[in-house]
Amino acid sequence: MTRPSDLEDRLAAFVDHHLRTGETMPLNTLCEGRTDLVEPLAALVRQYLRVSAALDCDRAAPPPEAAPAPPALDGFRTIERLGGGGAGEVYKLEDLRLGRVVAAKVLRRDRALSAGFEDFLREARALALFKDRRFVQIHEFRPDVDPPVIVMELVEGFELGKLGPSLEFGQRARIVAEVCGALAHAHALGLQHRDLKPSNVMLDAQLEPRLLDFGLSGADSSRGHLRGTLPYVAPEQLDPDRPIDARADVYALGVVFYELLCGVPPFAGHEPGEVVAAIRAGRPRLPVEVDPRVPEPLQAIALKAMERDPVARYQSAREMAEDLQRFLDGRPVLARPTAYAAALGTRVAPHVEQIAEWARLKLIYPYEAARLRGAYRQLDRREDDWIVESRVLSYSQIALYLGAFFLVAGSLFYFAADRVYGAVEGVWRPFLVLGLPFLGLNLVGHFLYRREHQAVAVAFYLAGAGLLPLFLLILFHEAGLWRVDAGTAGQLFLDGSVSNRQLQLTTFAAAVWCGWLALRTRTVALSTVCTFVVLLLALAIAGDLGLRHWIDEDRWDRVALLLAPLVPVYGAAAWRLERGGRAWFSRPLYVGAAVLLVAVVELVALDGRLFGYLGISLRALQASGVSNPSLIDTLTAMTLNGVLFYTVASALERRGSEVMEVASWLLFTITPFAVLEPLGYLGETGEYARGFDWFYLALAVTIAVLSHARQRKAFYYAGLINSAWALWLLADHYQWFDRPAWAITLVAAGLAVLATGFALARRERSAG
Amino acid sequence: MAVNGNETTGLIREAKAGSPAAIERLYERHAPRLLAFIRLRLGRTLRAHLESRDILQAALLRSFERLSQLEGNQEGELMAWLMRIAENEIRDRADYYQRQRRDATRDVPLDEAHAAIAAEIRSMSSRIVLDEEAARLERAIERLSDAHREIILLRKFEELGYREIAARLGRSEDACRMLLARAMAALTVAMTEGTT
Repeated sequence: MTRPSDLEDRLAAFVDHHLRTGETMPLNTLCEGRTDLVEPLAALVRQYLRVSAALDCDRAAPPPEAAPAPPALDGFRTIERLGGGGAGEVYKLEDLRLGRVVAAKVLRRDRALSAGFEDFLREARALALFKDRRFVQIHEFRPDVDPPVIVMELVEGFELGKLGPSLEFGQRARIVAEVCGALAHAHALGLQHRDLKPSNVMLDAQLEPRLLDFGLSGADSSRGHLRGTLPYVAPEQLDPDRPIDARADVYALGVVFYELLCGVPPFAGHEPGEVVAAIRAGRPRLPVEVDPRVPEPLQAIALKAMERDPVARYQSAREMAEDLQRFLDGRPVLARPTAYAAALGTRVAPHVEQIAEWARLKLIYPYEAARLRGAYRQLDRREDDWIVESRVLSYSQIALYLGAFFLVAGSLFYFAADRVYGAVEGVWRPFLVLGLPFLGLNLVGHFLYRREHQAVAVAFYLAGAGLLPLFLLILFHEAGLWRVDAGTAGQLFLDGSVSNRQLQLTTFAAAVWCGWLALRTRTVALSTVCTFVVLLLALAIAGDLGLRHWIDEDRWDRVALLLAPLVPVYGAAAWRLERGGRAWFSRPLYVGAAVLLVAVVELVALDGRLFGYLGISLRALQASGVSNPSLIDTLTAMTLNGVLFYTVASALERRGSEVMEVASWLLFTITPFAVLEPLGYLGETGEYARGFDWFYLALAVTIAVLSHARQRKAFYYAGLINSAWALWLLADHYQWFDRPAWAITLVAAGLAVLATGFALARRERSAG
Repeated sequence: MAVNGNETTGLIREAKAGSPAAIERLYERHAPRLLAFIRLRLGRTLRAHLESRDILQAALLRSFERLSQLEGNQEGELMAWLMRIAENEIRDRADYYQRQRRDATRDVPLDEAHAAIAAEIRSMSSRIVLDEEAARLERAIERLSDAHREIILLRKFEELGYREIAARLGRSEDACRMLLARAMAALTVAMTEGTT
């Protein structure tokens, strides 16, 4: 092989010749006598010519593709082609008569169909209507030439899409706010753009936006389906059956803003079908996921504008402009897009699964798992659901619920004025004060609910539900329906103000009404109220069964037995509703069942009745000096109740669904108090053997210590509270308040326990 | 060059008259080559400290500010002018880099009317992508000896005349011609090595 430099020398000679003359030297001349070099040199020469061409010619990007024929208009000279839009080519022309430079839009020859022509006419008419500087002005429409031409103002500037990425976020917000303002103006005149996209918004030298291409606009709201440009087409434009209005422009502007914020369009795909599917699904990535610098308020505005459902969007371009202005003024924006909840929901789900996994692996304790799940459920909850549970308090919510509260309070006073003081007479006044508002609230609530104003509708429904029973009670009384005289036996209210039947009918109507509303609106607020009203209904029915009598007789066990059927009714209803996918209804019912269970069994246990029903008695075990002979039966029954609560709570926790968790938690919390309080009472009576207060203290401490085994904080706290109470009882019984020795003993015991704790901690540490 | 020459001339005229569209297209067309030049001029060492796109941005912004000072309206004249501005920018920064890195986008004062064009320039200079072939060429030039690289930069990028090159390098014009031929041959070989 030849020395490389030999080859290089010959190449250098070739290059020198080429540089001087621009001609290529024949290789034969170069390689005289060395035919073996011809081939490698030829390869080098080819390489050189490539390199040389690259160095000389890549100084400029390749020229744009050959432009179509410029418009042939009398009195105009074509300067250059500016670009091509969806509907036509745009040229820069010089108006020779007026001596100004204008833009001319020419319909593409291959698309010069009648439909295009009509679009042109419409655009020309629409734009001629505007005196708004933010719309590119039309100078002239020339349908006489083929293809037709619109001569319009030339905007020297840049397309929004090109310039956007280099602008400050504040500038971007201002520009889009301007576009919103312009659109609002157009919408007020009944014109919709229908093809908003970044290339249709020009920015002039002052960075003022100018809107182009009102080509698809028309006053006919049915037009515009399957038009526009992907991905700036609103979902309803993809569906010929759905009406289209100005909110489709809001959507397109939302997409434009989204892209302006994070640099990429929200929906993309290789095929138009993919983009269409993505638009229909309406689950864009959050802009901050694409570009972390995007300010959250602007992201919220973009996402709200491009909500899939038109009613969830800004209802007008004006509203969107106002929210943008709030951002520009440094005030909080109002947008709270549903995309947040959706994005959160999809992220929360795997976490909740993980929690179950952690619990299964014993990484966390069951109560921790329950608490974490509860926290996640809180996140998942709708924000307009119920003011106490909502994640975000808004003034509108507060005002709505406050209003409902005042309304119900007012109607209660009115009820008292009527029924207690007899200050109101007749049917008409109560109807005007309570009946009309009830009807009005429900009508408006119904209307708002259909317009998807959930939060407002629910507040109105709630207020209405509060009015209904009071109005019915007054109505029944004034109309003389089911009235009873004062002092009638078997009535809940002996003064004759409200009869049992009236109460039953009223609460039944209210329960049905609330239940229907709850099922319709799927809100916890209304299902909770419904649960409560059903309890009132049960009490009203129990009135016929002698509730008043048993209360007067202090036979709480009877009262409890009257209410007892409600526990399984609640439980069964909750179970059915949960199976039917209505967890929001079954949760309050489960809680109601748990509360009622506690109330019923504790009431039955009073005065030793439970043991009496069961035919057993522990009185023989009781010291003779105790004044209340059934005391031991009562207290034992109550203690056993505690065991019952614990059993039910454990069963619910182990076997029950997630919806039952709250009920289970409630019972667990009550359990230690149910067990300890009777003992505390026993110690307190003083008539009892002295040993009981010591026993009480020992049991309280034991429960606190044993809380370790069950990992129940409720047990621990109950143990602590009760042991404190036991210490006080002891001091009281023995009159040790003036004995420092008692205090010193406690301090010593505390030190000893602390030392034990220290020793245990050391052992755990060395073991770990 | 011949293909684009006339168009460039027209664009330069319009750009000088203040047409943003013309400025945009002019810069879009010349920025890739200018970026390549800046990268080569910087060399490996400086490139570790200075961001070539910052310099491109700054150079384009400066040139835009002084567009009226551009003499002539030929392709080569514009390129040489842009590269001279870039070279000055590099020199400034090379002196400066040890103290602190400057933000190219901040230190050029602009009035409102020019802000849009400036913004476009900034956006554009971050958009440029060097294709694979250009990157290979750049690496090959980088591997050349200093003298070879210098003459290629001066002649092929800055498009200086031989007289000026000779003055700059302190050699005769003939020697410079010969040096360029040698440099191009070496570059060709380097490119061949790069492929095999």
